[in-house]
Amino acid sequence: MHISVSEMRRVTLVEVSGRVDSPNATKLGESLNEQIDAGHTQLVIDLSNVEYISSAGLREIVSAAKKVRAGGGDLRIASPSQRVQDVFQLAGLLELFQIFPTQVEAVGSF
Amino acid sequence: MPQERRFILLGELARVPEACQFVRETARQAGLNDKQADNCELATEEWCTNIIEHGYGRQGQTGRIEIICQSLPGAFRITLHDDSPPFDPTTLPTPDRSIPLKDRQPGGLGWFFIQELMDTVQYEYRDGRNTLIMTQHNPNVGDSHSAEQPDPFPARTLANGVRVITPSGRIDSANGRQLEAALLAQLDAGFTRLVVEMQTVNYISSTGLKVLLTVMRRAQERGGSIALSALTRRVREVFEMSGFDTVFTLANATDEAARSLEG
Repeated sequence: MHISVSEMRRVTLVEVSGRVDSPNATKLGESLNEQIDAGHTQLVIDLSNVEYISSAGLREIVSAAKKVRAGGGDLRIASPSQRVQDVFQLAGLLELFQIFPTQVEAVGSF
Repeated sequence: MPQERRFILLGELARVPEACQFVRETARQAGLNDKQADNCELATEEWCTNIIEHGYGRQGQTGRIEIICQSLPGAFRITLHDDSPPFDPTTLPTPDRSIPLKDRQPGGLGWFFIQELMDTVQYEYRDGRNTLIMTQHNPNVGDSHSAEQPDPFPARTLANGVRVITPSGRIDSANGRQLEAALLAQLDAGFTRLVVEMQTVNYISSTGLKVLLTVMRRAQERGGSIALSALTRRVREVFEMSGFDTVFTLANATDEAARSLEG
C-alpha cells in the first residue's frame, strides 16, 4: 500500500494505492489521524488505485470519518473500483459515505 | 490440478497476504470465477486476522494456521485449523448495518463478512483446534469432465520450427476472442511462424477472418507470418468471397503451408 497526501485549498486529498489489508490498515489510520490532528477535517480519499480492501481498511476509514464529522467536516470517497465498492456495500457503508466517480468531483464537492 | 492444496501461515499479520494469494490462486485454478475467488480471498483474510489478533494475540502468542483448499464436486472448500484458544465466532453479535455512521462501531465486521461472502460456513472446536470450514459453490469445480476438457486449440511444432494450431468447429464471434488469445499466446511464446490447420473447421465468420488478420499483423511485426492449410470447400469460399484468399496463403497441405513460411 502507498499513501500520498496533498494539501489543497479547502480539502486534503489522500491518495491510496495497492492493497489495504490487516497488516497495513493501521498505517492508513495513522496517516488520516495526522491530518485530522493537524486540523484538516475536509478529507477526500481517492481509492481508484486500491485493488483490494478488507474490513481492517474500512475500520480505519470509518473511525476517521466519525472524527471529522464530529468536528463539522467530512470524509468523502473518490473513484472506488467495483470490487472496493462491493466491500463498502457489504459493510452497509455505501449509503453512509458520499462517493464520487472522480477525484475532481470529490474535491469539488466541498 | 491437484484435488487438495495446503498452506501453512505462521501466525503473523504480515504474512496474511501470502495466504490470501494462495487461496485466491487455488480458487481460480479450481474453477471459481473472479468474483468468487475475490470472496474466498477476503474471507480468508478476515478469519486469519481474527485468529492472529484475538486468538493467538490475546495470549501474546504467535502460532500457525493451516489452510487446506479442496475441490469437491461443485464446491471449493477452504478449511482453516489453528491451535489458539477456542474462538467461537457464532457467539459474536451481528453488526447492525442500518445505524448511522456516528453510532457505528468501526470494527466487528470480519465474521459478518465471512458469512456473507461464502456459501456455507461452519465452525467447530475439535481436538484442541479451532476449525473453520467454508465453501463456495460452482458447478465447474471438481467436475472431472471440465477439468479434463480437451484443449480447444491443440498445437504442435514441426521439424522446421513452425507451430501448427488446429481449431475445430466454428470460428465466429462466440469463440473468436479465444482463438485470438490462443494464437497471440503462441507468438508470445516465441512461435512467430504459425499454420492454422483448418480441416475440422466447418464455418468461419467475418469475426474469425478479422482474428486471423490481427494475428497475421502481429506475427509480421515480429518477423513471422501465418498461413492456413486444409480448408474445407465451404470455408475456402468464405475466403474467396471476401477477398481474404489474396491476403493469406491457403495451402492444401499443412507441410506446404509450413514451407511457405520458411526463409
